[in-house]
Amino acid sequence: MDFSFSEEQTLLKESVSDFVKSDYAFSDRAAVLESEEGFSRKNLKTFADLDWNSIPFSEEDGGFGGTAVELMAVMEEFGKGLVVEPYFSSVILAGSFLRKAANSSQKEIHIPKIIDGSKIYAAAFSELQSRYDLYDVKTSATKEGAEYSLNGEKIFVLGGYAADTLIVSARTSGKPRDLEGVSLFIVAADTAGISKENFSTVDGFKAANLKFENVKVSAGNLLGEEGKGLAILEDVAAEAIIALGAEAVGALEILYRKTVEYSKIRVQFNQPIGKFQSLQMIMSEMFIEHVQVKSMLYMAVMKFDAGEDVQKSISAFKVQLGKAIKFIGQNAIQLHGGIGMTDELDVSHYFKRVTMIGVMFGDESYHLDRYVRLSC
Amino acid sequence: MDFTLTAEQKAICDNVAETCGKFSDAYWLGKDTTGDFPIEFHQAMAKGGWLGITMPDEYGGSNLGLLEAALMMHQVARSSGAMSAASAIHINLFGPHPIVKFGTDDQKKRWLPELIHGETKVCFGVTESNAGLETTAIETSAVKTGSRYYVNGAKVWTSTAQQANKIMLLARTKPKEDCLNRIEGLSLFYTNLDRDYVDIRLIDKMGRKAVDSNELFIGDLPVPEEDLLGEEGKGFQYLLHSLNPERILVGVEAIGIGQNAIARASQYAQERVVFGRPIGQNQAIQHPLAESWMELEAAFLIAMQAASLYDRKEPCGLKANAAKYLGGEAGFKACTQSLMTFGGMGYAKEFHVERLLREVLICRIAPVSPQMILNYIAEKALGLPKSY
Ligand SMILES: Cc1cc2nc3c(=O)[nH]c(=O)nc-3n(C[C@H](O)[C@H](O)[C@H](O)COP(=O)(O)OP(=O)(O)OC[C@H]3O[C@@H](n4cnc5c(N)ncnc54)[C@H](O)[C@@H]3O)c2cc1C
Repeated sequence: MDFSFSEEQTLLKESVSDFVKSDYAFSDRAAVLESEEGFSRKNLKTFADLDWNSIPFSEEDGGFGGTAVELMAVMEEFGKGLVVEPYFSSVILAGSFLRKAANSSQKEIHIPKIIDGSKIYAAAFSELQSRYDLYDVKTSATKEGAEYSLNGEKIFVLGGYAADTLIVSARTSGKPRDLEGVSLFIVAADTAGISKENFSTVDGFKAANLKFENVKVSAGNLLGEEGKGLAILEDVAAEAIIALGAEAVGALEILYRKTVEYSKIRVQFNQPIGKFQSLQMIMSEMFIEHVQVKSMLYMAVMKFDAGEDVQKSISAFKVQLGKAIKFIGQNAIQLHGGIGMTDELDVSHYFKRVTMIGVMFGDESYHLDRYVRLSC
Repeated sequence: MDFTLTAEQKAICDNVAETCGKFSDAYWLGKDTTGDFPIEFHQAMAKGGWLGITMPDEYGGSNLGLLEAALMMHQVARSSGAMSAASAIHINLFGPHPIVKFGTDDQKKRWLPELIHGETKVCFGVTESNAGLETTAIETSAVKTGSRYYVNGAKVWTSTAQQANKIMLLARTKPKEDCLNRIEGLSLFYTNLDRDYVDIRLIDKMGRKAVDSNELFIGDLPVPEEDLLGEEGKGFQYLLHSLNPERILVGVEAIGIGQNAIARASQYAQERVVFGRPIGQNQAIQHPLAESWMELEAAFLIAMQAASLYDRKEPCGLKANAAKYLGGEAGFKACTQSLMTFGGMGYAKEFHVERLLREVLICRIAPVSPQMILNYIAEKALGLPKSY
């Protein structure tokens, strides 16, 4: 077992870390959030120029051929800077569907556009009733000759606001909660019949709810085998949890470090509050929670790359992550006192981001239950 | 809303504390070592008239309410005797309740005075190993032939059966298949614990060694029909009437034990000096004890409220259960923290807190587990569907 990064991985991590430090100060980020689109095209171009978009794609698809370790390295650093550009939603999430399910001509069309950053992709798989069940799909895709016609609604499409192309799950057969019969489609976001409702999320990101009314998709844009989409969705979700989890682990590190720093400078009763033993104990536990969840992340990443017990270790990680997010996040605010509640301080922004990650792709209790089911 | 005790209630607390105070740490540690029943304590409490505190005065009781009984048991458990002291007399307080409520005049005359004077000792045979918390699933049967019932079956955990000459016994008088609902078909008896028909085997257990708990194997125990309480088949409903008082008492007992533990720990934390200052000057020592103090006080208030509702004949199930839950949890936490405060010495018997911790656990498990109370509160207070 080797927990150290290779030289190449270290360089990658450092380059992302440098970007965050030099171009992504809290004030830079605030300006990005204020902008019309809510993210910076300039930053997206930087990601492409530095070749970060190519990381998850295989060499034969024109990518870097990275493993989950590289993904983790990038996302952890992004988490430290609370990067809001649609890197996760486009490159990792939507890209993952293409990597896992696209045929060679689909790959040729789409992957280069993600890698060069010319187009933004997004994945639409959640529905109002589905909670975290990826197979709970009501949106229908009815085959009509060489086309499918899509009808239904998708909610909380991350990055859906700015997406050029969508990956959409829709049912080609069966009842809404059947495991079989879910299919995936590549759909241009400007296809007739798609309407969008954009909104901001508490953590500064943008998402969209999408409505599909008789949206025509050619059979050539069916992604993978008809009716067999669930296995792909689950694979994609596992990878997404690793990526988002790594981001959260990065953000949690900042949260506990900032709390410790603050406790050394904030003076009450003529002494830094960090001298109070009960606060020291809480901060030690924040440290321990962080180390623990980071270790679980490493475990999940290694299992993922080795293809062993993937779903179980992902759920175990997400449970631990949920706990760490609550403990570190809530105590970071608590120990900062009133100022921790303000928008001016970055702590509350980290808190909001990690809290969102805590519920994405299944919250703690969902994954605890899933872990139990996978274990018996 | 008045939270003050009357002069009489204060006197009860003082007098009970005084009687209990006569039994030292050494006395109780000795009983815990030998396992001998604390008969001297039992007699002292009987002599003080405490065993009949809730019993009607025409039979020699004091006719006081549950609130007074709770105040008394709180003091008893808060003494060094902890659960051993409480359990030695606890059954006298809630156990005979079905007799008072559902017994005939003749039965009351036959049974209550002896109980109140401490001449009879009674045990409570409800729990069975196959039924557990699902009391209505018990299998011990009582079949009537002529003017007698014959009881067959097995009970578990029956406390004080080694001492007892009477047993309050729940048994099935109608097969489950023939009953309309799950609470039907069980009957309650108060009868002699005749060792010719009942094999009583001691359970070696973690704490409260001085007050025995047992397995009972009952073979053809004859029970005269005069020993049936109330109507046949309604035993479970009768039993329900004594459950709320029992919960309140167990709740305050846990609280008393926890308060004793906290007092001992605070004392020790002032005296013990490490790194040049009393350990009690550290927040890691102070704060958890402070937290326990508050939890115990809060649990005590809800227990008092439950007792007062009960005495006013108002529904008290929710509060009684909450008191047992909060008391049990707070008492357990207080004892654990107290032991940790003593460090290594907490593990030594001569400091007594390990004994308190072993004994307070009973208040978490019996007579109903914390999970079952959560189930109950979820259903009855929140209107949520039954989960099991
Ligand atoms: C020292 C001592 C003295 C006792 N004295 C007496 C006595 O004098 N007379 C007498 O009749 N009994 C006595 N008891 C028995 C006591 O009342 C029982 O132990 C208690 O009711 C728990 O039942 P059980 O042990 O069968 O647990 P079980 O029913 O086996 O329960 C085991 C666990 O499962 C959980 N569980 C069960 N059902 C559910 C559910 N639906 N939802 C969630 N969790 C659940 C419980 O919470 C518990 O954690 C005594 C027990 C002790 C330890």
